[in-house]
Amino acid sequence: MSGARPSGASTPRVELVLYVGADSSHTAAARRNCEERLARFDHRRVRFEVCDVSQHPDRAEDDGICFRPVLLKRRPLPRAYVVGDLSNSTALVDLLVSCGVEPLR
Amino acid sequence: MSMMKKIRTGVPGFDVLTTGGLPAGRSTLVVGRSGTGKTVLGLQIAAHLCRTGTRTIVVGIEESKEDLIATGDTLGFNLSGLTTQGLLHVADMMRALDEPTIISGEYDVMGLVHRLEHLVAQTGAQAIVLDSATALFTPRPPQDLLRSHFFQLVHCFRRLGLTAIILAEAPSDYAQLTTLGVEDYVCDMVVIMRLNVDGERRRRTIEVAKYRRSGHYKGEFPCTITTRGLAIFPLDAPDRPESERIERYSSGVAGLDEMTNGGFLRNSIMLVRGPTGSGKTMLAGLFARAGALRSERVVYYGFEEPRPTLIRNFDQIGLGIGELVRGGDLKIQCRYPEATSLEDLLVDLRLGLEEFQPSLVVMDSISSIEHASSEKGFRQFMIGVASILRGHGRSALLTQTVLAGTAAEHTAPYLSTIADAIISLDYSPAGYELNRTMRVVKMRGSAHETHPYRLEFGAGGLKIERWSSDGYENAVRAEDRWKDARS
Repeated sequence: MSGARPSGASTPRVELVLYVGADSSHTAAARRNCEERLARFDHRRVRFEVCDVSQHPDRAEDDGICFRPVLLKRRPLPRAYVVGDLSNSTALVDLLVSCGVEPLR
Repeated sequence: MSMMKKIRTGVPGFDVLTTGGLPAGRSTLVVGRSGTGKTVLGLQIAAHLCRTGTRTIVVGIEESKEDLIATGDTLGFNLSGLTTQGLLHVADMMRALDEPTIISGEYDVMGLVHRLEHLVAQTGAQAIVLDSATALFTPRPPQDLLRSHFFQLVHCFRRLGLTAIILAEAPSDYAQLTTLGVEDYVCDMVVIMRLNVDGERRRRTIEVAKYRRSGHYKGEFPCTITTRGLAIFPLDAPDRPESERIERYSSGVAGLDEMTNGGFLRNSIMLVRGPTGSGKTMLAGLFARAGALRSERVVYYGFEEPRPTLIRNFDQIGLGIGELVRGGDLKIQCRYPEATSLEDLLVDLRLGLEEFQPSLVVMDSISSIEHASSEKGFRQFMIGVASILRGHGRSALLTQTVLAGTAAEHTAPYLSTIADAIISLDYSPAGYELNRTMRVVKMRGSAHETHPYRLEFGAGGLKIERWSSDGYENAVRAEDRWKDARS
């Protein structure tokens, strides 16, 4: 192998959805934890959105969400779920790295 | 007990154990190891609820929607039809195996709660079956979190007014109740399903461990899963309509009618005990014949010989059983108890009796069943049989093989409780002759002779004659002389 790393537009974009609830004490922490970690990545390579399950139960249904907060990696497949507020965890970073998205220097 | 509202489940026996069914608008926890029939029970109840007008959601986490519906359809629950009619909604919440779930930090179960609220609003469901809590909470959160998740879920069911059935895996049959260890606190009813190994047989049982604000039957009850789903055998009889009038019918043997003060009583179970060769089967055949000749429907369960042999033996002594069978009033079914489980045999009996609707039932002999099972299994079987018989006001004659000289002695307490009348047949060698005797040991609700009667075999069956006190004493002396001469 040449060791060439996929870069720029040729690599798939990672799609993340954070399922939360407005009435949940974990929502703010999960959102903050996600945003803090995503700040270290090229935002063009990661699409991140937040979805309130009480507002969009049908989306939660489609994505098979039972818990909240849940961070769902929708793309690339296969999907992966990180359940919890992501405190003290490298789970999100690991997820992105496993998709070939490295943190910015 | 309070005015708690209950919903009938339609599962044979379940509504008896629970004195009316599930607690309406509350949660019931069903626990058991894998393979104990939790899903079958859940789907069976769901189907019944739908058929009786309660729209139901089944949440499948362990199995896909297609698999659950197929399982139900195989057992005749018609889940696909109920789904098409919009009465049943199966929500597929199975997680793909290739989609990993990582736990990181704190969370709650409100995602599912919001989805269920949405589903209930869409479908108008009033009941829910969750299959299973164990699968839902995998990977398992810490204990305190788990407890709060489970509480949130049950609270959600309650808020939505759902009658809920929550299935959960038990790590073992008897030790810790559930894998999660927290579910039973928040549910109004807890049902335990078990699959025990009893000697060489597997035995299914079901137990209502708790029913808040309601009475229920205590302890384990035998149950079985057949092609029609789960059936439970409550070990005591449902109330039968009591007839004011005492009705008698002929036992089929003139002398025995005399001994019993005019014949057997309707709606009673006769136990005929005696050693091998004492005439039990012949008496059973005469009983069946007399019934069929009166144009009653009679079913004869033979557990000792193949059907053709049994019919041929009866016809040899001129009972004309073959003809009565062809006439349709007498049905003879021969089974080998060794070849089936007692639970399946019970179901078989129950279905057979429902279809044929006999007024008289013969079982010859219950000892064949006794020998093919454990003591506990046999006891439960007999109590189940009594329940099936009494539930329909049937009369039955059961035979039991005992050692010679012991037929009039005490019977196992559960057997004497079941039997409304006990008739003993016995014999004793008295030199060249064999003294054959018959006694009515007990007969509930009727006067009866307690003296021994003399029994002779001959053409047409049994001949029973009153024995004078002197005649009997002479016969006993002859036995004693013969025994003394040999010792």
